[in-house]
Amino acid sequence: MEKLLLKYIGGHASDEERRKVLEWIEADPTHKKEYESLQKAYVVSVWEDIEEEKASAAPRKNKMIRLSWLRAAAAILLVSLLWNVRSLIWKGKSALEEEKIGMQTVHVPAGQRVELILQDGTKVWLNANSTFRFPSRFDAEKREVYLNGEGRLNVVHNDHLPFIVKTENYSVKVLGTDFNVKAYGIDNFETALMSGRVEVESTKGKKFMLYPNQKVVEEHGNLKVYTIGSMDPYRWREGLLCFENESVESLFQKVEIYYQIKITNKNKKLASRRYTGKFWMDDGVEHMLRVLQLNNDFTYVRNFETNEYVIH
Amino acid sequence: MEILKQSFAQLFKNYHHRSVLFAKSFVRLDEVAEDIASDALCILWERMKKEEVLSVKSFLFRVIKNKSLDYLKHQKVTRKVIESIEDWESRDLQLRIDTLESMHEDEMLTKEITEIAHRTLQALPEKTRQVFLMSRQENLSGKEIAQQLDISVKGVEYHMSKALKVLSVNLKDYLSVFLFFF
Repeated sequence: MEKLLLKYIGGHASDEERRKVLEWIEADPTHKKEYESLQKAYVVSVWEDIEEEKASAAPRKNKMIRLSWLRAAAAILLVSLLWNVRSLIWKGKSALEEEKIGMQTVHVPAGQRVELILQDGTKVWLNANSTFRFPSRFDAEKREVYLNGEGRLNVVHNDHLPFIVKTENYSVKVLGTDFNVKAYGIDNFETALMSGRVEVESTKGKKFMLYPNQKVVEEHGNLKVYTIGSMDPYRWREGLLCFENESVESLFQKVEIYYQIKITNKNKKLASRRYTGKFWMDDGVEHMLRVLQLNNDFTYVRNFETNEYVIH
Repeated sequence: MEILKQSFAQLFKNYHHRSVLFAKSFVRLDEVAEDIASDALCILWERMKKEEVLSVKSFLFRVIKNKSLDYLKHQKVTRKVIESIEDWESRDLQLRIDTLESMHEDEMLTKEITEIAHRTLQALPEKTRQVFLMSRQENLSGKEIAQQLDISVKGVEYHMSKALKVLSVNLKDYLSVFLFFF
């Protein structure tokens, strides 16, 4: 009965079903009460702002401080941005409107990470080997940035200025949010939402709405929604590479992207293993290989010219 | 003007789907619910151009409720004229009119109720919450939700009725207060 009642309340029961529900409601005053309270709960739920998740606690101070030169670079960038804004203001309002929006590009080298603060206060963390393009000044209608790689964004909410992250095949529209986007060129696209709400749109126009603790993953060209099982994969901000029951093949794939190297594995025994664990990105590829060597018998050769590791 | 256009788009985005859901719950027909929702949003927009609307939700609730009641009452009148309509249909119509008339935005959209609803929905089991949230998305049918989450359509129905049931239990004290009003 409950399911029929639900259909009735949603307004999509057939005539036959409607009749059944009506007769049930009329049969007993307690039935009527049950219907009324469900109907009211439904109306309450319709008007409930489900997306209004309280902003999550400010991201933890990360351990990136160790890369002090990166901080310095980010600071210089910020200063230059502020300078741009200042000089624009200097030119007066009309000039400001006419001024073409300058795009800034940040490329993060392999094995490194960068933290940025955009003009509107939005915080951006970029993972290794990522390219991020953004206007030095956002225009009056929307905030649009471009990402090739992986980034974690903590967007400052503004009702009138949607924030859009464009990647090669998808765009992620943000409504004041903390989320992680992964779009390394051909690599499978992924967006994970920690708080707030985002909308993912493919170039074909298909749209997905994400709610906190959900991620959307590209699988064979289609997007699928999952619940985020573990926050570990998003800990790269702290400089951690986390793997959970991951095949060696997929582990190497990630390492190849983050360090921009090539790993060729010719050791079948190693290929069949799965790993769970964490590495500091700063410790480098060789450290990781040495850790893997602890319980696997393999040797590797590094070609310094092509940056290729061959495992035997 | 750009900013106005933008905000209407935003308004539409935030409230259109729930306006449709609210209306559809009573008028049942998609086209009618769509019309009522669009009308209500336009009325709201016109009003907002003239003066500040304190609670968008209460305003929409009231307009949609009245429009839905107009429609249902009109149905009742036409039904009386056409004798062929079966008795149970007019009783069904009356039930929906009575129920809708008993709902008042200043009782149902109070801070207390909103907070309970919010907490309840946050505390639902993950899958149930997910299904529920997705059902609130525009253009996402039960079948599509099932597909995206890799569960059956029956599973979606199960989670939906569970979510509503929990909510109605948690709101029981507040909702039964209303029951004394009619």
